[in-house]
Amino acid sequence: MGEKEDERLLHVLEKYAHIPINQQHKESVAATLRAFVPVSEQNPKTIFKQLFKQAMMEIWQYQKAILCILFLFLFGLYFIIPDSLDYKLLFLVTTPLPLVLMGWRMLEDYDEEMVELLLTYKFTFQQLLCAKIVAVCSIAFINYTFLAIYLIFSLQEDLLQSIFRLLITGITPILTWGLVLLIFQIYYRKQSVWGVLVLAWVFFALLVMYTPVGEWLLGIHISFYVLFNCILLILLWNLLVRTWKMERIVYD
Amino acid sequence: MISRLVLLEWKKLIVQKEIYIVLAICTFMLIIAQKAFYLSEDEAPYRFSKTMIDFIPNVGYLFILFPIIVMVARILSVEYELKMLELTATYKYGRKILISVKLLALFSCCVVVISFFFLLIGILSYLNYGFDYLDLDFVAVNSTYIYLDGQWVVWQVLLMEYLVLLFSIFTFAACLFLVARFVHRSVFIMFIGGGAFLLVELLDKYVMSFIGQMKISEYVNIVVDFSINSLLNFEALRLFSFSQLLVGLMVVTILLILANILVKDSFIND
Repeated sequence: MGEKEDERLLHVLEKYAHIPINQQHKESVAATLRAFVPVSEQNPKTIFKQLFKQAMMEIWQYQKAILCILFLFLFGLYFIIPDSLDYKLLFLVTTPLPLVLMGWRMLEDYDEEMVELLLTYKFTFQQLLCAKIVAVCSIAFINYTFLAIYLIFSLQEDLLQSIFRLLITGITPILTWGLVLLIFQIYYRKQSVWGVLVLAWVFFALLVMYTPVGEWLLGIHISFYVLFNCILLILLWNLLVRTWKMERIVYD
Repeated sequence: MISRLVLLEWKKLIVQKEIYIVLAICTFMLIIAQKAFYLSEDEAPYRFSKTMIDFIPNVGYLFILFPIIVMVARILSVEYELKMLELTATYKYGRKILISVKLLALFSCCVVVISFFFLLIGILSYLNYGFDYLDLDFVAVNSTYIYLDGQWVVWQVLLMEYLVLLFSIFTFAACLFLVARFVHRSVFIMFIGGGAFLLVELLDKYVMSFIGQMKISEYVNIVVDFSINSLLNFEALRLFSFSQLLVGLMVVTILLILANILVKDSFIND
């Protein structure tokens, strides 16, 4: 368009009077828009990554002593136990130990005194919980990986299949404990329950190590463990997603 | 009055979810253990009777002890956690009656739990092996864990097991109850009870294999022989006869009940 057309357009626009804007009308329009336009939120993946990193840092900050002692204790134990069958049984009962120890701490952290403080935080308690559960399970998997590598190199038998079966079986306690921790954090968050579960695991470990129960468990076909692990993973995932999407708790 | 109080104590216990969680876990572990300890026809002629007699001293006592530890941990600490402890001191008949009632409720819990697990083992054994006659001669069953002199039949041995187990478990529960009078947190009580038991198990099953030739093993043996573990797995029948054991347990039980009644709590005066 040429200069002449621009001038003509400007002349037409200046001819019309400015519409006076009512301040109250502006505010009501803005309120209406806010009610209907979706609030922009960060991507859940971004939030989760941030909370996961935060949870890992928190675990390292407050529980590094426990974790280091646990790792040293586990490796010391593996050096003392001479028999290879006992290695396998020990592997079964020691993979979820980080969860067992840190689950306790998680139950202690979020009590009634924290509720008001948590309401001021920009993320919900449920989101924090999901990130912490995943963080604790990740640490258990790191522990599992180190122990698995040690087992692979220390077992003298040429039994790739049996090591593979052991690795699949070793995942089951971690997923079970992760799911149990999440369920009890949501539905019945009492320390005494954690005491019961810890004792149950210790009794179970005794049963597995010193009776034929351990061999019987290792003798179950691997497909059962694969199926069971898949079911546990699906249940854990569903519960995590449901918990993540829960509304912020209203506190009066 | 006493019966109403006992009923109230029962109600306080049975509303706690921890009891059901522990019973469910123990039932599940017992079913797995029964599968693992399955006897083939060649191993024993009377498999039902052998399982009924041998399962409890073998591993069955673990599934009975664990719920009792949890019940002891919850029976007293629930008042501390609900901040009712000081209020119980105002009871018009005195705290001694309350403690006696709690011990009575605990004893009845032991009866119920032991009966439940005996029944469960019986049902599982029946499903696995069918039924044997309970008036079989005990020698014919060829038990691995029970040592008895004289003529016994299967149902008498089962009754003996039941009574010894009941008083052993209650003795342990009464000791733990005494500890719970001072340690009010249920988790610590569970860990103390479980820890005391597990320490002896580890000494017996693991440490002894390292120190077997050393002089210290004699002292460790004494600790193991006179611990609750040897009562629960009936190893004590190697040292004492059944009647000596039962009378001894009853005497110890009465002494522990008296100790519990007479000991004063640290925060209140009767």
